[in-house]
Amino acid sequence: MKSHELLDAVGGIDGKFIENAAHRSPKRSAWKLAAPIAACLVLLAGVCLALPGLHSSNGTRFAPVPNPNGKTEWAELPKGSPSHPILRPGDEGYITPAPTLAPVPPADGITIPAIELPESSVSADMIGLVVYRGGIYTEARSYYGEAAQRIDPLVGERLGTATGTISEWSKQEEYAVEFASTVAGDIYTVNGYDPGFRICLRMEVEREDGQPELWIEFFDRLNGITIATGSDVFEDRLHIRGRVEAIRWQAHDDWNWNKGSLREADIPQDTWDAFLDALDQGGFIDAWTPGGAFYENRPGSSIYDTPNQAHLFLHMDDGTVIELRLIEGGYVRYNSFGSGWYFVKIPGEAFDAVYDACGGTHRKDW
Amino acid sequence: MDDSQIVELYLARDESAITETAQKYGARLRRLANQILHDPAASEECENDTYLQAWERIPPNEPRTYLFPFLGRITRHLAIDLCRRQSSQKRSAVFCELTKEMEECLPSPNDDAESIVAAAELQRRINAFLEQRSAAQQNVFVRRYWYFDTVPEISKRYGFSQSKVKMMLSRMRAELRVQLRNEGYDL
Repeated sequence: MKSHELLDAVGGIDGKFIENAAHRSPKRSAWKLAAPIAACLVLLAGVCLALPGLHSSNGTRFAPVPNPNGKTEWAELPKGSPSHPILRPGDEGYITPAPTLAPVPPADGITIPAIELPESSVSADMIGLVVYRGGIYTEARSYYGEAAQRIDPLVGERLGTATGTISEWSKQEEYAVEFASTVAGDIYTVNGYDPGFRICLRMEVEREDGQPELWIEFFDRLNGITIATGSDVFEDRLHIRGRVEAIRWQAHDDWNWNKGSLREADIPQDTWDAFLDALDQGGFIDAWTPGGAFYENRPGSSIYDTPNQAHLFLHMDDGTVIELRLIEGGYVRYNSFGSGWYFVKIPGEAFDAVYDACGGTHRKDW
Repeated sequence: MDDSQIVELYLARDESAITETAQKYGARLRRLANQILHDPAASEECENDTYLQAWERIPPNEPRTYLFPFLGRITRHLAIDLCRRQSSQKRSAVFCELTKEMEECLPSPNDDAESIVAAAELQRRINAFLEQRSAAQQNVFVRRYWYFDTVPEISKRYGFSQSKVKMMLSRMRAELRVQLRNEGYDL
């Protein structure tokens, strides 16, 4: 295959990508345009109603409000203000999720193939990776400044120094050595996590103002493994249960366009526990359906085609953050899974309660 | 006139289809060609050839809901083809630059028969790759490799710094390369 063939192939990409890129900014539907106005009304209502008594600090709920400078500020919601309605099947307004043709979770789990070392002399790998004990760990999440300071105690035993020598001209033999990497710096274990799953890079970088800033980057190894249920990842490796201090969510459109607007989730403990139970027990599926249709009556559709998604950021008690991507229909993905399309499929009610509380939509107009 | 009405004109073999197409999409098609050719006269030629090919391809195609992507693909193909036919001295620097960037996505430098996969299959893989990206990433990729925008143009369009655009493109090329390799493209 030659580069011009790839350039030709890009010419035949799906028309929706071409149309989307023709617009200077994301298309905004009427209800989205109304959202800032609604947020201002929420602020106004908050100012009027909140004076008699706001929630206590651990029960406070917030709403994002754009200020005249274009930034988003947070306004506390007054006590008793309605929370995001959670509609159940049978409730008025509940929209049944689009039926899918997704594969069912195989009983014996799915095997994620090991990332193989390149066999050519042309690599150009800018993707963050570190080779450790013969496995390839790919970048999972970066922490800077205060966030890095908070997780600094997690940095454990020094394992070695990543060479950072892998470049676009690296040869096979340069990859096949311990600590070959696309980033340079000292590599450590991460306290509380299996080094067979997670290691980290710790270094100080110089900010634009010349001051040093701590930078810690996690690298996860989630390839060359077999996983059956959610607990294989979320409990055995990430140890989620009982450690989540706060849950924030981001609407899919905001995530898609890097707009920020993270909001505090208001999820009762028993609802969250039921979600985790279902997540642990749910089976993994490989949602990639090449040439098929993930959604019934939508030829060629993939799981990501729907706008009905929610993005959760779990702030853990050790300072780490775990990002989950929820897609209507009961699909949950650990978002540091690299390029794999691996989702846990969980039952409707446990999923919907969290999905709806985190801005998940049920749009049909797509 | 909306796209489906224009397509109906083609289907009815009504020559006003060309006029309507030119009125609605002429400037965009010309700009698309000029992004790679940097030659207004040649770009206009590509635009006119696009109308001719559209006339020949509709029917059997009926691109009522994707008329611009349909026309744009033709223009893009014509412009690249013209670029390739030019002597290496005249060949657009943009084309050379894009081809070089695409090399970074290739899992193997070899051009052995086994590594040549049907174009349709490769397109499907690229679609699958793009599906996994955020809309911002998709648009940056498509603006660069479909519309041939420069990094500064993309930067201005989306309000990203140029270094951010470069990094997004670089990472996507690397990820595409890893994905293609993992899917057997280095056979």
